Amino acid sequence: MSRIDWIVLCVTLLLILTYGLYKSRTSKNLEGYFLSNRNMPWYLVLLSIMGTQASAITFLSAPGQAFTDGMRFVQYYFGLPLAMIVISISFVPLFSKMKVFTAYEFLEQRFDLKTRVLTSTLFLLSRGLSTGISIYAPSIILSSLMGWDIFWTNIFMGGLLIVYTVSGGARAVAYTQQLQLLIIFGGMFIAGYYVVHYLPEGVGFSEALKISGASGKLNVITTGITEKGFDWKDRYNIISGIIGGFFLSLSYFGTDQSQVGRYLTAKNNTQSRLGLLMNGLVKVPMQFFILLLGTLLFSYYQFNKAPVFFNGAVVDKAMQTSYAPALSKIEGEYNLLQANQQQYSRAFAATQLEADKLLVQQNRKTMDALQKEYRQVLKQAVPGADTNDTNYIFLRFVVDHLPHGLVGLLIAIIFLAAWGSIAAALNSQAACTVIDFHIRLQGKKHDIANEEDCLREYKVSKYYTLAWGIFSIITAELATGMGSLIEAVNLLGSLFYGVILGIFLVALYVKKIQGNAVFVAAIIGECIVVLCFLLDKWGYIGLGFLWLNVVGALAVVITAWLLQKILPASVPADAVSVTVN
Amino acid sequence: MDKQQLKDKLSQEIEPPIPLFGSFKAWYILLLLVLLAEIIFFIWFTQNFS
Repeated sequence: MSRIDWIVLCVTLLLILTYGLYKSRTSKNLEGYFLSNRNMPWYLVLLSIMGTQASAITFLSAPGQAFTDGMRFVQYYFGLPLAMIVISISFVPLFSKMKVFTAYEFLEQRFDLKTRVLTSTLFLLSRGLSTGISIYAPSIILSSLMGWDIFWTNIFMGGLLIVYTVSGGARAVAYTQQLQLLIIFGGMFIAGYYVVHYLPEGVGFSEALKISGASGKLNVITTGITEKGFDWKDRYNIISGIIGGFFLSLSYFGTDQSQVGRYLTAKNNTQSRLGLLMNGLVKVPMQFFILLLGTLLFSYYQFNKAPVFFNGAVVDKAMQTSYAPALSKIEGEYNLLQANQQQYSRAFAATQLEADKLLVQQNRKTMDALQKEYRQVLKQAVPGADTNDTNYIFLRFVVDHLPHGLVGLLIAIIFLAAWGSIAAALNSQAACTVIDFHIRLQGKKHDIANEEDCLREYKVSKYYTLAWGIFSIITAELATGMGSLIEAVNLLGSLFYGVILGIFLVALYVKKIQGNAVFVAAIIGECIVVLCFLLDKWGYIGLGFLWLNVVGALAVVITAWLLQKILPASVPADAVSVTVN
Repeated sequence: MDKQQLKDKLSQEIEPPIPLFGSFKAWYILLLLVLLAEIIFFIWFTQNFS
């Protein structure tokens, strides 16, 4: 990286850090620290929701995902707008009416303490681990590409944001996310401009689309239906996107405190709902454009030399082994095919003839087969190495081809995107630990009139935020290669989200089911989800991970309903009617 | 409770009118229509460029 890149990187990160500290001034009590005194307008809620969901992985992996697998990943977000509607109708009014700090507080009022503690524990477990991955994912990519030490990259990735998150709580998180998103969108737009700008003369945006389309990269809509019927193993198609994506989004936005905590900061019910609905409007187009960037990048590499494998660090290691000649041979063949591909692509861009399209497609198939062979040799040469280079594609282009200054900005964007989601996660984890465990299990009532108590709780909240920050960095340091990281995070979420959602669905919609039944059902439901995951992994069944959300939610609802008929009723003395009528 | 907190609390109590359509039902319909339009566009996009 050049000096100017370092300056841009450091200035951007310092700007966010300073802005976060500047916006840290908030009331020294739990309401101020965790909910920013519930005074946020809808557009800040929207940006905070978006900033929390869009991690560094979103901006690193999504273009690479489109590059390798096409744009069908966008279908994963089709269920999101539907979930926003359900949350606006059912979840938001209840949370708002009950003035809760965490989503799980509601469960104690509806069921009992043990259900609240179990659900909060499941959340802390999944969020705690995935926050670690959110630090590790961009760190490993940056360290591989830039030659940085992974230990220190993790520390900087997860450490600097702790300063303003501990100091300013939800308010600092929301304000920094606003600035972070502006910089991120600006940077991604500039990167997109350069990809199109670097295309050869005579090849414009529309020709670039046709070329990536010819190689099957513009497969936005797929049905997942094969000759043998519906493919349950197929991860992204319109059916799994709408149904599985709906359940995942409902669980993530309705029951995950890292998101619930964002819209609880809103001034009122209306502002919370507007923030969520706007998110439903913008999310699919936003993801479409990020994926489109990946397909444009694919077109760019049809006219320019591309590495066979985008993670240079693994290739360098493999070249030190006895497999070097085999790898060099494949590289040579690949380079020849690449030269042909450039010719065919130019011809197709100029003529748009079917015959030229066929040449592009056939040559691409041979290139893909060679890439596959190259990966297999890499696997033998460096056992244990991650031979999935999806996450490296976009950043490798940035580092190799963008002008000085922009490289620094794009790397800063990776940091900022990571900070936005990690900061919100730490804030929510601290909120759950303080509200659902520390204060609740002490048996004390939260008294907002007692200033001494408020100040003590405020200080404790800061310590817990710091503790969760340190925990996440340690998790990141311990993490190892996990394939496509965007999928690893979503997969981890899917193991727990369905069950948590099932508990909330029972709480909201099935009045007669009580605490004991839902508690046992949640444990059984989690076992069923883990069993399905393992059976899929061992090859006994074929089930895409999005379906785990559906399985988990339905397992809890059905089991709780059956158990309610068997188990004796237990209505807590202070239980209130909080279901949706 | 300081002045800022009191101000915030008061602003929460008063539910402002729902912008643009005056009702959330209209917002939900808009969201569904936009999703439908996006899916139709994506089908067209897939058929035209793939």
